[in-house]
Amino acid sequence: MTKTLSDTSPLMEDAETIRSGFDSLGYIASRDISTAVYLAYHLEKPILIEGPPGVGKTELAKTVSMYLNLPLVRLQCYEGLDEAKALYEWKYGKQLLYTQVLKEQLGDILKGAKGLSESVERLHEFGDIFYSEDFLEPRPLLKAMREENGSVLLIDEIDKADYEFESMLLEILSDYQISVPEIGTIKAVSKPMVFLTSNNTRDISDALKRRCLHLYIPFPNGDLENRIIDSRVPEASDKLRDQLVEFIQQLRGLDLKKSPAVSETIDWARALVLLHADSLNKEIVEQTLNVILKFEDDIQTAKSELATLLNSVKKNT
Amino acid sequence: MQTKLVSFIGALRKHDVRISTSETLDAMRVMALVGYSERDTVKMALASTLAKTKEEKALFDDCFELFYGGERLKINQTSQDNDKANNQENSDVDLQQQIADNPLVKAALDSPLVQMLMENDPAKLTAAMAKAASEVSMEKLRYFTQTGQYSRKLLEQLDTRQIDDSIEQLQGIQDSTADFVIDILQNRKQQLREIAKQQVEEHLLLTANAEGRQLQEDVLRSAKLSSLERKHFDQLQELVRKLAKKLASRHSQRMHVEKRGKLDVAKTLRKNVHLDGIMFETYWKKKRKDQPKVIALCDVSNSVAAYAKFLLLFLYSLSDVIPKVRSFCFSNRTGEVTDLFNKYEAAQAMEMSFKQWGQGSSDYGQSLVDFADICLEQIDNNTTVIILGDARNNHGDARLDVLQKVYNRAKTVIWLNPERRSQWNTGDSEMHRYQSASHFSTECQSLQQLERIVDKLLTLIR
Repeated sequence: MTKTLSDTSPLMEDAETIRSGFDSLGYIASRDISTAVYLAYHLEKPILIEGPPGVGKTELAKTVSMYLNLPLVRLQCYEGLDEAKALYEWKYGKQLLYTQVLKEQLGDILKGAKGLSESVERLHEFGDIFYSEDFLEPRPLLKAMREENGSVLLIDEIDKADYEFESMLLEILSDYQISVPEIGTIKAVSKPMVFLTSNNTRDISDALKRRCLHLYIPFPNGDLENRIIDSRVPEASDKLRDQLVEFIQQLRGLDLKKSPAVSETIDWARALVLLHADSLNKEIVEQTLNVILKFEDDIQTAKSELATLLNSVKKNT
Repeated sequence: MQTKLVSFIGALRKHDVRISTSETLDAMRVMALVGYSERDTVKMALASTLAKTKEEKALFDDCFELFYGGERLKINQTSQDNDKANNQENSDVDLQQQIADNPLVKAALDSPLVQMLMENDPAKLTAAMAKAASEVSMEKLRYFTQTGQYSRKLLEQLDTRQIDDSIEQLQGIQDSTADFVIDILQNRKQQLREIAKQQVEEHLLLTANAEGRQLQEDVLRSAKLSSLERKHFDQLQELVRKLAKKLASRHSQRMHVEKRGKLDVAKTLRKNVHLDGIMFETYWKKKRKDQPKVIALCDVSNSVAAYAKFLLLFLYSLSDVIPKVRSFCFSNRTGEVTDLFNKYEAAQAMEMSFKQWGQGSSDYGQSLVDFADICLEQIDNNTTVIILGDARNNHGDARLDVLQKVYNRAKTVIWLNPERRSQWNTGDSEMHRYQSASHFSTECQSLQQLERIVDKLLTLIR
């Protein structure tokens, strides 16, 4: 029977417990995030996470799986992803091999049968051996459903998949079951926690949204980002950390093609630590701008504003 | 509390946040889970079930503040600095003491509302105000002019006479404590009035305004485009984007057409090598659908410029579904303005192209010739040509032969005429001739008609 997660874990007692638990795993979560995870867990609903790239959407699912000590099943979406790659597939090779091996057996079974109809009847007695669960190759979605103790299912970048795939997900997301025509419906042994992420390259259909809780993760504010860097790059000195976080926050105010996200801030902090910097100055920022900005245009824009940016960073820290 | 939640969801819906019944149920389950004790948690929890895009989140925040705006009901002590507040707190305690000591004053203050005011407990006051609001049937409030009436009703419901009675009684007592209490009561009564007014105004913002906007949008949609004034343009632009988004989501699902029936032999063999060449998995030939090409040719002379504006706005808002739009403008000569639209915001691009090409009186003949010179070669059987114009050629040469060439090459030629059908072919209109070289022609006077045309267009080209 389907087990529910919620009657087990004291780890999920309230949002604050979750938040401090995440803290200890190095994922600094805002209250929005921990509340959403708390709700999703207790309502047994998937979470749709949206937000600019690099703010820790995928990381959240990983952290939850670590926190609850459940296996993480990840499905990366792309254009053309279909049932055979996401749900299940028949093990054709095994089926073939078995038919070859069993050929002789079949001869024995059919020995003495009179006429075609009797032979067919005898074969029928064996049922659909070749289309049973033994010959089913589970793909990520089915795998997540079959985990005994539950799992964390991450469906990454759902906006890259086709509409058809989105519709296919609906059954899984609302009823936690999969229909395989040859077998019937397979219910989840234990309902997985489902995370869907989207970079907003296109609108997700209303039907899918309706079945999910929605979490929007924006760029973090200075305070939160500071704590994130502190937890991820503890080698950075306090002064450097304050300055670089302030700089990034200012940078996001500029008109850029792609604003630097948290992952870029972390990379930058690491780069600066490697270069033995203990505070920001013009040369070092100019040298390392390509770590945080990924377009030549953006780098030029930032360079022209560099003096003012650095000045206000100095003033504010 | 549930009815309150439902009316909150009603308010959200009026602000165009699309919330289904199942989401309403989710919201209730969520509230049962987290409880109503902490305002921030309530807000976050509701946001995750009710608002599902970035825009909706912003709307949700506004509505939540208006609807559950409990904080502001705290009387007094907002702008004062800490020192003073502390003093007052002390004097509050003193005052309570004095009142307790003085039985006459105490008796005068013995009515529920006055008690509440003296206690100055924002939570109680909020509850009382909300209760009163539900009893005066606030949902009937529609217009701004009704605010006075409704705030008076609200105060009546709260029974402010109690305050007046108390004050009267207190005036009978010759005592310094009584005088002091009168002052306080007068002051708080005034503030109560302000709060009631604010409550009513916020309610108006929350519900009535949204309804008004809906009404206005309906009117704008069916109004004749050329008669709209400049001040409506911003709103119209927004409306066009909204309509375009709706159309885009309706039409974007039919992108991949697999041509089932023809086996892709090479691919099937290749993919089945590991199965001993037995063709277990089959691969079918796919037909890649070419992206549709749309060319818009717009008359931008004074008489029809307004219509061209909205057609172009519509087409460029649909860039998700039809990425390849080329646009041309003409009055007496034709020029391509596609680059302008790629480079600048739609509104700015329009301004620039109208300025450049919109001078002079219409010459359809010459314009068609120009148009054919520029891009007749590129029109193929995947191209849809939309021509917008009133076909009033100022008695010049119509050059129907040019349009016929376009007609023969293109998949579809659509002629949109902003005039009423009854006025076609009157005076210098060449409509009947151009009609003969278009697949279909129709009038487009209002946004509603334009929406229908674009809908049809999308069905046609995809």
